[in-house]
Amino acid sequence: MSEEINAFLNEIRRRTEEEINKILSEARSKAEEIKKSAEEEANRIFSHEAHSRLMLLRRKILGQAEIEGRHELIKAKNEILEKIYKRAKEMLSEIVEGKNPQVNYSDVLYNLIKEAIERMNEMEVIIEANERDMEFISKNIRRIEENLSKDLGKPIKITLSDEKANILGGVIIYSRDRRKVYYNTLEGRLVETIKKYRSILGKEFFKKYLEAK
Amino acid sequence: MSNISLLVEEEIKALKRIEEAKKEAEKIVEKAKEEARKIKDLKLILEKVSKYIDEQEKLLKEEAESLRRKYFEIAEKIRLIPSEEIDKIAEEIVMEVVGLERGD
Repeated sequence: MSEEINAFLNEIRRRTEEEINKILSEARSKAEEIKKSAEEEANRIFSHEAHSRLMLLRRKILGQAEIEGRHELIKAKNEILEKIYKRAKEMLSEIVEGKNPQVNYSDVLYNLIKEAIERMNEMEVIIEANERDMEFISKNIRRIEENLSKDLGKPIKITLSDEKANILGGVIIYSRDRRKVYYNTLEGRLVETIKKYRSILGKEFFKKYLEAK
Repeated sequence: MSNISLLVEEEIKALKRIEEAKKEAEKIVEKAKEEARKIKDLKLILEKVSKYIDEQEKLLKEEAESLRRKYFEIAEKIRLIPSEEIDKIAEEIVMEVVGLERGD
């Protein structure tokens, strides 16, 4: 065999190997591409399905825990507010019974009457209170009228109601024709003040106390 | 064998090998397509999702328990507020009630 033929044969073999390698290499690349694309699509489907289901589950499980937790927190805060309310009511009872030397209930009662008449802007009023306070007002009615007239700068006339209110203290004041009424009872004021304090307690007191712990 | 015959025979051998390589290539691609079909099988993917969700559910329940515990601990701290503190606030409220200090 001549060297020339041998070279031709070698060249044919070399090109054949090259062609075979190219064919197989392209096929392997294509195969990889097909699998990669399938994996990407599978991951997309997985992520989409998993994400939406996980979000729902998260909202359900953590949301429920959050609701239960917050409910317990509100319950505890309400328990404290209830204790504060009860304690405040006890303190008010001590005041009306004259057991608190720092507060003169007669002055408190006078101021409650004055505030109510001032807000109603009336000159003749009917006063309703509990039995004890009615007795006090009845005994001091002239002096109270004089002081009110002086403090409010106009003549004030007081009539006592025939009804007695079942309240801790304070007054219910009606205009002479009973068309207007102003509740200035201790219970009412306590409820109003507690309402006001509720947000202060929530924002400051509980927070401060919990941080201090 | 003549030189020409040798060359022709070599060419034929080459063509045959290339044909075989093409068949092999087709098999490689077909196998990949079959694997791809399995990878994209919706039933299998959803099974994997379910398994993943089950695992996540356990973790979420632990997280929820810890969240609940955190709130309950805070609630307990609130319940332990000493009576002196309650008295202080109650007194402040009472002073406002009797002191005619309402700002309305």
